[in-house]
Amino acid sequence: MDKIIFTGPVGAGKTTAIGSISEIPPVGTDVQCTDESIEIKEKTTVAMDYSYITLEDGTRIHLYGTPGQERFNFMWNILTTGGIGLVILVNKDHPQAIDELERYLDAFSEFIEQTGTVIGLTKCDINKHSTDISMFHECLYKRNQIFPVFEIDARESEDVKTLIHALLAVLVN
Amino acid sequence: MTSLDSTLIISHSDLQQEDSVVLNTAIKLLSLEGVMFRLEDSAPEHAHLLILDDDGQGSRSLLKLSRPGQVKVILSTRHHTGKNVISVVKPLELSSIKSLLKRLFTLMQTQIKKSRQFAENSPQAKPIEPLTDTLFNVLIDTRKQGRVIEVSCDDYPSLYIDGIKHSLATNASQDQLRQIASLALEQLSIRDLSTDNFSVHSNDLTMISLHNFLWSSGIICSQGRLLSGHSIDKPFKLKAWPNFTRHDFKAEYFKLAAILAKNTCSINELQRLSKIPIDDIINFYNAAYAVGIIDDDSITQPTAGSDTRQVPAEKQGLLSRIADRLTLKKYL
Ligand SMILES: Nc1nc2c(ncn2[C@@H]2O[C@H](COP(=O)(O)OP(=O)(O)OP(=O)(O)O)[C@@H](O)[C@H]2O)c(=O)[nH]1
Ligand SMILES: [Mg+2]
Repeated sequence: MDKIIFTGPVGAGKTTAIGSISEIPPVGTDVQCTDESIEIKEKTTVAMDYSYITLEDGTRIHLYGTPGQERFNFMWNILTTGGIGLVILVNKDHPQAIDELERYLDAFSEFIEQTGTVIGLTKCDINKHSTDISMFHECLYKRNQIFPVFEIDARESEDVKTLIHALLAVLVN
Repeated sequence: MTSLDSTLIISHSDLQQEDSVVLNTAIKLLSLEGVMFRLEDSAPEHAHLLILDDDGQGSRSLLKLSRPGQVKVILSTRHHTGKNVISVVKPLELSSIKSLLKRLFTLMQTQIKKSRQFAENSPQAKPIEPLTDTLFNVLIDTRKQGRVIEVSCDDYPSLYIDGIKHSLATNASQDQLRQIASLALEQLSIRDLSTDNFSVHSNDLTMISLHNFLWSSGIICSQGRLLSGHSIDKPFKLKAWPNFTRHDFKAEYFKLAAILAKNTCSINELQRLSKIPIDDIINFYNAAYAVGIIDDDSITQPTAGSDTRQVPAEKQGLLSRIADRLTLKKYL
């Protein structure tokens, strides 16, 4: 089964990004937030997001989103097995955006070794705590992980598609 | 064109609807066998394979066009001859066009490989010219020297550029910015400003990142000319990927970035490795240099080729079909 995995912290825009390129609205398990996330957002994904795109020959590429909340981390291994590549989304306006990115790069290190990874920085239109993109470049350079990092709006399909094109280029070259 | 080497571009003109359906079906069936063609009708002169119906007006002019290595398949009731011209009787029949395309695919891939080997062994075709006297040069100097300038010309809003804070204030739209970048330097008037003057002028204007304008003017102004002081033989790498969602790009740039994020190589080697025209590579290099993502400090040894993993044809086929499905609007 061919699948692309979207991951990242609570509220980074995973459900939105999948929805902006997929053929059906993500089949989610979004529920009202009950715990600490409630301060961040109203709805959160439990278990996972799922949707797909269909290629000309009928092949389906499955798009999976991991749940953002830590208590669902046991899902990560299940979801990544057999995946083509990884999309990490991080809210650029989060005060600890770089730490958040590193947490995901570490958590998915095994999958990242085997496949390709791209990073989307979301919510660039909000500028409360925004970290400059060069700081993300520096972080990745130090880790010797020169992955594509693009500023995106998860609601804009063209941005999400550009991210996927970079992922494909990483996988082919 | 696609970033995948093994895909050949087909273009067609004046085909009857039935013929065009048969052709599309053949291409789809072939893709399942790893024989990858891609239909692109926008630029027939660049296609590897051109399919024409000789009853059509457009076809007649395309027939005269000659791109080196391009093969033309002519649907006709008559017999056509000529170098790289194949006649096929109308209407198209699925199994025969499919097997013809398959044979051509193999033949053309071999041809392309041969001509690449030839290009690799032959010396640089044309000398690389230095890039001077463009707005891009002015922008780079402005930043390097920490100047503050105003760029103006008759038909466009003025640009106020702060080389210290890396900002650009203007009312010009993205399209107008591209047009300004493509003007000759003589058409622009450029004068130095004080920081105070900059604040006064920029007050009601939109602030945009100088980075993005540096990138796009680099791509537009370069036209295959290399920034002076740089060499096509010096190995380099990328420190970071260009921020493509906010930059102008060609499909080929994804491939260049992907190679340069993993490998160290010179512009010359990159051309051999990627088969992308050297002009495009130089434009990319200049823009990447201007936005500070070229890493050539301590690099002396190329690594290109050491880390190139071979992706199985079947997987390449799948990846290129995903790319086709998610077509981007904003290619240059
Ligand atoms: N302003 C702005 N809002 C965004 C952007 N991307 C996503 N959003 C909004 O952010 C909110 C959260 O997005 P989701 O897609 O639910 O985030 P998620 O990553 O799925 O979150 P969890 O499921 O809780 O892990 C939604 O209201 C989106 O519309 C962006 O780039 N800019
Ligand atoms: Mg979600």
